[in-house]
Amino acid sequence: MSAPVIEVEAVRTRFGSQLVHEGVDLSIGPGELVALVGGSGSGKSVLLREIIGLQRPSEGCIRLLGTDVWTAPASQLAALRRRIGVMFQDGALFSSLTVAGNVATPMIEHGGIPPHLIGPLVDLRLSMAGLPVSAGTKRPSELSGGMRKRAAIARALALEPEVLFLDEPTAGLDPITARAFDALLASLCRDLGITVLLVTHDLDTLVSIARRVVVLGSGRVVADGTLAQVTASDDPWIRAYFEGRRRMLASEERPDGA
Amino acid sequence: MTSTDASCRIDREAEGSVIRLGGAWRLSRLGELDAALDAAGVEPGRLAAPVVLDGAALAEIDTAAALLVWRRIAGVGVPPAAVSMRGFSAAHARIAELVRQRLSDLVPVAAPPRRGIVAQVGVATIWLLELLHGHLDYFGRVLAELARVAANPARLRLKELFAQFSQVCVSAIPVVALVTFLIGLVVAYLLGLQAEQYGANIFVVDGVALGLAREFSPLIVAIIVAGRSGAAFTAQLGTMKLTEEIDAIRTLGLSAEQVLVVPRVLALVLSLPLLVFVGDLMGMLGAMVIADRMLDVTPSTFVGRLHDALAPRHFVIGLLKAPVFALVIAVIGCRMGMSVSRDTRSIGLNTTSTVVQGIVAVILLDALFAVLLQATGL
Repeated sequence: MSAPVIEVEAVRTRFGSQLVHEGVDLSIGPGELVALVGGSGSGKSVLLREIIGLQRPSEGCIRLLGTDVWTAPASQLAALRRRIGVMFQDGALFSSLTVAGNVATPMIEHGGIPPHLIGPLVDLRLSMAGLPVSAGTKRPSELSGGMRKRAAIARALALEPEVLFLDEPTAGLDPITARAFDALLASLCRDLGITVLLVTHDLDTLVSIARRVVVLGSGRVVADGTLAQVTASDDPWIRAYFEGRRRMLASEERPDGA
Repeated sequence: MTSTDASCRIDREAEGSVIRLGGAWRLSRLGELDAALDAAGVEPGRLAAPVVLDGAALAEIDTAAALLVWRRIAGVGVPPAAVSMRGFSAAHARIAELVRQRLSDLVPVAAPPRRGIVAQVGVATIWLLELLHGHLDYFGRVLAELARVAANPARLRLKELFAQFSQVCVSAIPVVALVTFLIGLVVAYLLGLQAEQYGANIFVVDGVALGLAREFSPLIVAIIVAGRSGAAFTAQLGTMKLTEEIDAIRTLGLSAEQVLVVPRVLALVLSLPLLVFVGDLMGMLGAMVIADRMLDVTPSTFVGRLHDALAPRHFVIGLLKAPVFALVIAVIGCRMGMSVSRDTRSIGLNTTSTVVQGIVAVILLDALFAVLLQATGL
């Protein structure tokens, strides 16, 4: 049962002469909620795209739910894609469809769902993503940034994915909306047992929900563990990244005395 | 793990009806699950309160299957909140409970009423009038900006003007030349077939010259430009609108109309007469080839006859129509680009709309010119 859901072995990625990954190893088990962090250009999003089969790594092997993403035949890959959900950074909703149409697309395309159940199932997905059912009739252009991301989550959840990938889920959201979004992710992971891998820059997300943090730097995994373990690392980038947070925590702890 | 086939059974027990779920209840088999619920007899009147949902034999359940079960239970008149759950594993109970709590959110939204045919005609009419009003309004703003530039020529963005001129005029020459050459060829051929029967070969020159210089060349070149440059204006400005470049221009204290629209309008107004001139020449050349090959009218005879038959005013009228067409095409293209809304889809819609509006406007204007010039005896 506890076979890893995502396995990344010795992945190297080269763009021309620029080496993005020089040997990334990563293994994520079922039901984990893992945050992938790293500086701009450290190849977080590239790694995410490689895991979901959008971009081919130069070398190395990526297995998702036991299937090798880059050698599997097309039919196997199509079956695999039904078992994962992806939320892109700005939602990537289909602008020609309503929100409900967006959520229904995977259900209609992959068949097997009786047509009379699609409507209620779409509404359930919207509700699970924290949107009112009435939002279903709107077009993506009529939604605010936070609602767009929720609609994207609803679409990613359409087919009951076992793994959910999110690229910068809280980027561009106000802190209150962002925390509500974190709570949503945590509950999906806890209640539905979905494995979640998210790429983020948001320290608050790390603090509040990530049970495991993986830091990419200079082409490899430089730290991997709980937030406390990662914060204790002496990698200069990690130290700089968490420095502000440490200072903030320290000032909060100091009683003001007034 | 129990059997992976989904099963459902209803038992009457002392305290009420017990719905026993077993096996794998998953989204991929919703159709089978629906049938299983039918077979078990989840129908009105079959369940006696209190209802118990027993999940002890469940191997798997996901939210979609849970939704199906709760909806069926609610559908036979038993409120899901009154159903007690027993035997579920902790994970399954969480999923079933999560869906049950959300059931009250899932009130269907009333679809907007469909409009009748009269209302549709009305909506379309208002849309058209608003569109025309918007074009007129924008046309006025562009004219005002042009006047401002005329009053202070230093404001003209020469670099942008040249860049647009090169795109709109220079790179359009090959396609304009090809199309008008072929039109000249075809018109001369068709006229030639008729004229030959009467031995009036030389009059083909009169017909072709008049038709091309006064009507065909301006009209066809304007249609090509409407499709080519009008669409390009909308797509360029629409993309800039979407990426907030236009807002950035405005926040820098510049007028987006002056920076982007005036150079485009001027470039097109200057280009179209030149392109029409190219069209005139190439059309005549096409006609000359046919005249020489088919009608025994040598090029020198052709040119001599052209000199006598084509009054300069026809040629000038053709050239003078061009800037008017250009102004309308450019204003429509720019305005549709500026009115792109926040989503990518509207760039495509507006670009299509620009081409259609541009072509229709050019043909309408051409008809108007024909009537006006007829009335004034030109």
